[in-house]
Amino acid sequence: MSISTDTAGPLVESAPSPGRTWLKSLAGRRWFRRLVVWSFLAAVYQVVAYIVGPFYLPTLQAIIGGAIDLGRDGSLTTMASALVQMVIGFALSIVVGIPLGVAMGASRLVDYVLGFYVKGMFVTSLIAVLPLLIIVFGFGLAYRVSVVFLFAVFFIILNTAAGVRDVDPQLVAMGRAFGASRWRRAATITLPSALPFAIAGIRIGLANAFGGMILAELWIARDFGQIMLGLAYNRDLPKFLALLVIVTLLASFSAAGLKAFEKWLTPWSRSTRDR
Amino acid sequence: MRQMSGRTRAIAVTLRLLSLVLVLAVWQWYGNQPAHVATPPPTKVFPALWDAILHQDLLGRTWGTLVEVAVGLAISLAFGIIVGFAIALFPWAKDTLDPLVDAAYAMPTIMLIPIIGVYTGLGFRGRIFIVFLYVALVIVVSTSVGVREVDSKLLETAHAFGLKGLNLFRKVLFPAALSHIAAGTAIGVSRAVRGAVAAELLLITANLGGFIVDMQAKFNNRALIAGILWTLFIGYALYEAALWVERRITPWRATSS
Repeated sequence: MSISTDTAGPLVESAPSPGRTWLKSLAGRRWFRRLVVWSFLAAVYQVVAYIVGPFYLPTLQAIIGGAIDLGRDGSLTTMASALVQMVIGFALSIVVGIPLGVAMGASRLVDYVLGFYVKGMFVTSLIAVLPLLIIVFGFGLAYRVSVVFLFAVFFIILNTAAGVRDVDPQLVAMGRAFGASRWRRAATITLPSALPFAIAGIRIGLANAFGGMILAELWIARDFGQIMLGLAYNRDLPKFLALLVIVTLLASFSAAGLKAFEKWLTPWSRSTRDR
Repeated sequence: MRQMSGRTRAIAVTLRLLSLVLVLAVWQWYGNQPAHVATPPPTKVFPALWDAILHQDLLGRTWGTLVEVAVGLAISLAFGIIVGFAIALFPWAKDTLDPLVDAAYAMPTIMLIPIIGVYTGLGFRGRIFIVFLYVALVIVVSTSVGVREVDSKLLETAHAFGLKGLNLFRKVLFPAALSHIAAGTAIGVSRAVRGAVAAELLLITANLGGFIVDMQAKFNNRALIAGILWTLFIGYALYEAALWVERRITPWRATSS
């Protein structure tokens, strides 16, 4: 563990008995713990992969090789165009979801009438709707966009509504008492309080948009879906798992990016402190 | 809804009913257009639903899906509560597993379906595994959040009274985390139905998903839409039932939804 000695220097200075203490304080470091546990997990994976053979689990170096192959044979380009379609559907779900959420949060009547459908769709298995979407939209862009839209929009609506509802009534009363107009109150009281919720909804919605995109592709088995299914049927696991890792990394980094954006934009929010 | 006055409430209920009527009317109008033969109107879909229940064993198929949901949920609960407690209580586990949980959350579970059959088989076991993949993480996260948010005053009191180990777990940690676990389970139920239906549609056709695929293959669009509506309804009903159970288990915590 040669990396560990790099940071050991300053720690040893303040420690009375250098031998054990730096190891102990090193064990308190987060990156060190991650290094230990993650390399352990990777090693276990590698050993299991060698034992069960490439038909069940490819080795780590095979997966990395698979990622390089994916770049060479143009699969990643196809994936990029699927991602573009996903972004269209996702943007649509933000444009539709935020105003609906605001309306539901602001008016109990709207919440009662609309919320009935929104919550209903939110908890049901939307995947069952796919055959119907294909009947209505065919196999083209409209179908893919509609799947992503449906997968993402309800999180955005419900979170935005919860944010608008969460506004401190005392603040609103104070705003009224000081004669702030309706729009002024919306801009200075409701918006700051609801924004973190809305962004959190967008973040969860994005994770679901990725799921919706993959599902839409797998279901019709064209373009990117065809690539995924082909790799799976040919048991080309190195490439398939590389694809899975790439999609997962894209999804988690975009989620982490939104989280950082949320923290930067709304440092006052308490919902950003923990998940 | 609680704060609505009697008159507002009456208006709200009327509006909701009116909106339902409106949805059905628009659907009826849309389905009756000659150009939209593929999407039959409600007057044809609902008889098809009744017919499926009487003659095509829709209830039996529903039962099969429910069994998958129940078994998958039980396994996920056992796994999720243990891992959730581990993440919350051991700093090593929290530091190292949290990012992995985040990444696993971001991973589209559905992408595993094409390759999973080789490991689990395509039958019942494979479907259970997919339900597990859909649900387990939610339980892990809600459990760990629940344990982390246990009131520090409660913990101090427990400490002062010398509670340790299993007793601390049984008397303080578990009951305090229970409300979060119950809330996670309610979400888990709806995700379990999603996982089960996804597996039935994409892994190998069976039960409710099988009904939908069958009807699609036979171009029986009335029964297809009836099956879709029924599947959506089952998911909704199970979620409502889970919420009801959640309120019964943790009556001290008023849930918002």
